[in-house]
Amino acid sequence: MQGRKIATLLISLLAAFLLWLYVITSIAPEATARISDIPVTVDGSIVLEERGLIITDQRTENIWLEVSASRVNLTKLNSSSIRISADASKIREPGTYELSYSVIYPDTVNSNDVDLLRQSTSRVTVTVSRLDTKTVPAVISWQGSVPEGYTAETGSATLNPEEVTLTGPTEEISKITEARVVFDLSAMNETVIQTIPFTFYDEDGNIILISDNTTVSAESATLTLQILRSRQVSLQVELVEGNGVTADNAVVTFSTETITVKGNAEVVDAMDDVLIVGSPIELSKIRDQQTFRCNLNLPAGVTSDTGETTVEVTVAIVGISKASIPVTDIRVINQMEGYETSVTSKSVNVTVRGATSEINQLRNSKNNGIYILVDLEGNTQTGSFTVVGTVVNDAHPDVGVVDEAQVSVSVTPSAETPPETSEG
Amino acid sequence: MFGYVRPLRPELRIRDYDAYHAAYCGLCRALAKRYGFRSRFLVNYDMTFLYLVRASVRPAAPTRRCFCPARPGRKKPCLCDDDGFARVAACTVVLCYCKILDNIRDSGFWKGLACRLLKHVYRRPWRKAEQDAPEFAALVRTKLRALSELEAAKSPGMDAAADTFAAIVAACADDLPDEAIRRPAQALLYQVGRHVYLCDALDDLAEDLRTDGYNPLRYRFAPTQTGLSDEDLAYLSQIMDSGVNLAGAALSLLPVRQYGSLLENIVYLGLPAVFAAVKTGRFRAGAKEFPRKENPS
Repeated sequence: MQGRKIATLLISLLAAFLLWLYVITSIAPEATARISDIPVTVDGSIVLEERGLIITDQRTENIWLEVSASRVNLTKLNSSSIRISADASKIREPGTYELSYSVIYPDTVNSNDVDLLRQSTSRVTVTVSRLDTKTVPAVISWQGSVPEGYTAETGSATLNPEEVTLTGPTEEISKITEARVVFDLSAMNETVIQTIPFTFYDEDGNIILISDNTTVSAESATLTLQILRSRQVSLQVELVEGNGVTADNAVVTFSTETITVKGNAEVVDAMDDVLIVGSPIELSKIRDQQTFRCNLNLPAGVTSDTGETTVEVTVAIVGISKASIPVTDIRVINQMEGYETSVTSKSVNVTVRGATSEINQLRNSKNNGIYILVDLEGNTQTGSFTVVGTVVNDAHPDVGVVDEAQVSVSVTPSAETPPETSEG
Repeated sequence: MFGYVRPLRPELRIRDYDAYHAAYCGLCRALAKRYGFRSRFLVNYDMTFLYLVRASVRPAAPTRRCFCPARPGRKKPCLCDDDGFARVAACTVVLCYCKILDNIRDSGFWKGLACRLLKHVYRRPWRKAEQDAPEFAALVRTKLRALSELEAAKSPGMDAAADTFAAIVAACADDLPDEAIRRPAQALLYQVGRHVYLCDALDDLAEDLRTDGYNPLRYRFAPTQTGLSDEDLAYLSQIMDSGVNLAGAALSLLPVRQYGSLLENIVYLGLPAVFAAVKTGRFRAGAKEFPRKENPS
């Protein structure tokens, strides 16, 4: 008894379901629904742009529709599947327009099966403006100041790009006069390379916010700013002692005792207080006083304040005695073959310099150990003439010879050489 | 001469204040004693500093109460160090006389009239000072000639222009026999001389722009009628700070026996304070902390 009741119940349920299925699919009764928030698409913006126009305002952005359709179709209709399209391609001048629109149902729904009963509006309002292009300069606005001891070379700071091209509605971009990047100098102690977004300003210094209708050629710029350090350094030159002259005998003066250097903060800070200029100066080659122009030898990235790269250095030899010493020992080497060389100068005076005691000792010694070496290598001259001899002073290392020696020699054919005979 | 080298009074100890006044008055007395009463008017802060540097390595000299023509009714403490003041007094007269000559050359007939008169007034002290410090007088002439050449060439080289004056000031210590004292003293005076020159250049910039006078800052930077830009001033400040640092380094090498804290006050506080006042125009305006002449109570 109980089992029969259950079977009857199940059969009834199945019959009811099948009946419902039949009604829904075959008879398809109509229902009404309101679909809200359907976005409006305005087509034809490309055509408008070609005409130099742009839609700057679309007052009607969403629409609701009340439709009647079968329940099956209604389930397929919602704000995402329905598209509302307004055509702006026929607009030729800037202004405010009310455009009619068409409702496009999804492909799975036949538009004839849907009845549009009501809608929130039958027109879409759009504002069309003239599309313009303008180029404005990119400028830097400095804020704060660099820490003490550093200099920001704001005058030579660079921005890349140097200008910005804006494309958009005339009324929007016409107000913009500059694209500005704002940079805070506080705590900057090294050279800066940084990308900073642009902010657009009008001529009164007010910020202009640009809308999505305006496009810009660059939204940010790369700022390159050198942060420099400057300081004063003393100048010095390296001296090479020799020829009887020591560093104590050299009075060195510079055209300026100190110079101001500037450059990359790290490099400048690492520099010594003393700058060695030029190449070493050989004191042996200076007779009394000589002026040199020496390179400043500044490290890379560092320059002098005025950009000069050289300095004048004067070296004067002081505090040493000079004396003229007669030299009788004159030696000739590399004589011409077949010729005899005789030294006509019996004694040549040579100027020597050094400490007074050394010079006095040299003067008083009978054999001073100094000799003159005359090298005739490559000589073809015969007869009497003067040659320059090298003064050799190995015996007195603390005494220098100032000049070379002029020696008179006579080169004559030797006795064994057969006299030249003229032919013919 | 310029008055840019002076202590920062609010930071000065009372005993240093007294010592400074005694040295100032001592220089005034020494000038009168060696070069006549008229030379008293040449006393200045800068040369007082020179005395302090030279005297700092020697034992203290006695102080006596002396007659002061500026305040005849009251005697004032005065350093009696004739030997110590001898060179300083000679340098003072030489430098001031050369400055008078320089002013005559730079000024027109009418403007230079007062200087021409002063030239006659100080001719005799100058001759005596030239005999007392012949090498210094010769160097001053050479360096002022070099400065004139830079002026004629309108050189933008701050270093070169400042070097001429700095070398003169440094040469005030050329006669010190001990090298361990002479070299740091010269280095210190060189930096102070440089500081004085650049301070003076900045102080005179507006006037030089107006009168078309030579000023290295005018050619080194591009000043407007209102002076240097903030950026250029910051750069110049760095150079001045660097100089003060080097002066401080030189001072620390001096085997100081007295006036140590006074010299430190002048170098570390006085020089930067004066430059800061010059930068803002307060120095020229005669700010309270920088009176033109010393007026001790």
